[in-house]
Amino acid sequence: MNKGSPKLVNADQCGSMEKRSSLGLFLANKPACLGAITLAILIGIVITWPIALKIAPLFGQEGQAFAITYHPLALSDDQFQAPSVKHWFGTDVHGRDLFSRVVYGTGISILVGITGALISLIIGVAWGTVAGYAGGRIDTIMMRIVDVLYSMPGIIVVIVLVTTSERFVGDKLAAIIPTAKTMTRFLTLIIGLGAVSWLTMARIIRAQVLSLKNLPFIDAAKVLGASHSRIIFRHIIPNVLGIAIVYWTLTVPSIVLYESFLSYLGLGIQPPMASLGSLIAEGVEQINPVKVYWWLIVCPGAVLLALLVSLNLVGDGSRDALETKRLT
Amino acid sequence: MIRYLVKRLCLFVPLLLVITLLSFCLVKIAPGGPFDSERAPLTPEVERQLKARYYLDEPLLKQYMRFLFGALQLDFGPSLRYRSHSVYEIIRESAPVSAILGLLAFGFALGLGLPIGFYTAARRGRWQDYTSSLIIIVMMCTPGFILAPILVLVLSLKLKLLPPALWGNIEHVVLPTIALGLIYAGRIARLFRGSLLEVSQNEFILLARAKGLPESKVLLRHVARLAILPVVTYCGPMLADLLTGSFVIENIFQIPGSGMMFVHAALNSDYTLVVGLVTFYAIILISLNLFVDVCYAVIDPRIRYE
Repeated sequence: MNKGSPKLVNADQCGSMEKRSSLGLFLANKPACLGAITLAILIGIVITWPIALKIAPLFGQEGQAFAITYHPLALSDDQFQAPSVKHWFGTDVHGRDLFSRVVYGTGISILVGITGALISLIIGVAWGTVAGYAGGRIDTIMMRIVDVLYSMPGIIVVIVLVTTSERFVGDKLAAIIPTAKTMTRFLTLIIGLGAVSWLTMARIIRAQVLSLKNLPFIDAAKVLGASHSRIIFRHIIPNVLGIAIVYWTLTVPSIVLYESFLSYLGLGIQPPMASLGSLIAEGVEQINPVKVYWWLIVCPGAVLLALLVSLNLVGDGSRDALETKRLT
Repeated sequence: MIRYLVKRLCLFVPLLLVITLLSFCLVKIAPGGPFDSERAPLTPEVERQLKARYYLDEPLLKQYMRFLFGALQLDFGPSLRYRSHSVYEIIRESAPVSAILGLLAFGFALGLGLPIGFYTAARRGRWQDYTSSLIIIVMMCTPGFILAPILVLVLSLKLKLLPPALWGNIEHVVLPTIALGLIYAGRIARLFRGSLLEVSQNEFILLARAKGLPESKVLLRHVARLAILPVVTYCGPMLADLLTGSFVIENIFQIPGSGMMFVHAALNSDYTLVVGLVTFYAIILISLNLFVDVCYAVIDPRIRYE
């Protein structure tokens, strides 16, 4: 036991040094830094804008007017205003301020991306760890299931899942919490997207666990009488978590893309909530040969593009940093 | 090789059974049905008769067996929404449209992606590489539903060069193909670039350079030949995506393909059409994967399947 504590300190120091070096590698990667900065700005606006709208009425008459004009659901008579100093992104068919709607939509898109990817991380890590650790027949069966699911058409499964489970889950939820009915589409969407995106994660984690479980420290833990659950939770999962998180950052943009795709089709986020996909869909509805309302498509489209590019750059950057570190 | 093929073909059937059973159960579990969203609510008597007419009152397993026997004869039953059409008819009419669009986009993605990938790899580390890499990333992140409306706004409504929607003539094809294929062109370019760079680390490439081959020949003859392999692997899922996943593009351009049919069917809980289309998509996807694995063995002589 005496020897145990200094070793722990050593391990901690190693950990922090490793972290610093991957962070350094990440910072040396200019595109990744650019992505991280863009992402930080986007998230900053998404967080501060609603707060600004909330506290504006406290500052007298002008503040109140500000909060009303820019409320994402406040209808007004200024329909189809082109972008101007007052309405940065213009206004939509109901005279709502598009900038405000885009900010809220970006928030929803990011939220769906992060939580959906988190679900895929949990399923993938659990599945891959159990398969890799158990080995033998259990491993074969579990990985065969992954193979089968791989050949399922993912987006089609999500569409079937979302359209069918929505009413089912909605009724169940409404019985418990009456107000939750509006959230059901949101929840089924997150769960559905998470449920089809964990396959690659499971394969990566399994491969990691397979190489980990033959290392001496696992044998040492076994000799010391550690139970399987202790080995998995104390020794295996902490060691695969780094890779899991890196692949998580790569999953987020793909889920954001899926979500906006489904919302675009009317299968995702429902009004009055809006995500970037459904905002673009609203813009497309207004396409007509007489008058062009370009800002309805270009503004949410550009924000979605910026979000996806920055998420991808950050994901790639963190993966490269991790891989370079492991090679050297 | 033949043994491997037989083994894979044997897996084909159970895989298809699992997929159909899953989708069948999913659409059945959901409350609400194809008849209850009509404007005037049906009387219970009429609804009961309708259900009996389409065997929806039978136990689930019996319905599934009925579906399976029908499917073996290419009979997926009538569409519950468009009752005068059978599911088979709908698929037969809509699938070729989606297939043409998908194949065109496939050609576009390869035709644009491969040269860009090659160019960036050949100019590695220079400014052309950085700018093109940025372009590739932007291409990869531009989904069709952003690109398509912007193309329509600029090219058809402002410049009046191409028709904004519908399907039929050759000029109807251009915009949907670009909108559908661009994201895949980006992915191909990136994949090909990475693979070219990886292959050029090999010793036999060093040898090719050492014996004095011009750089263009080294890249084209030796590097590209091996580097194309990951692209070939990706072609299978890509083609499957393109053939099955053009929902949005078909929606924007009002193209009567199977993607649009599928979305409507899922929204209307048109059981038979959903299950029929899922089966159809699954067959395409599984056969494409098989085809790619076989192609892989033919291109790369080092791979031998047991």
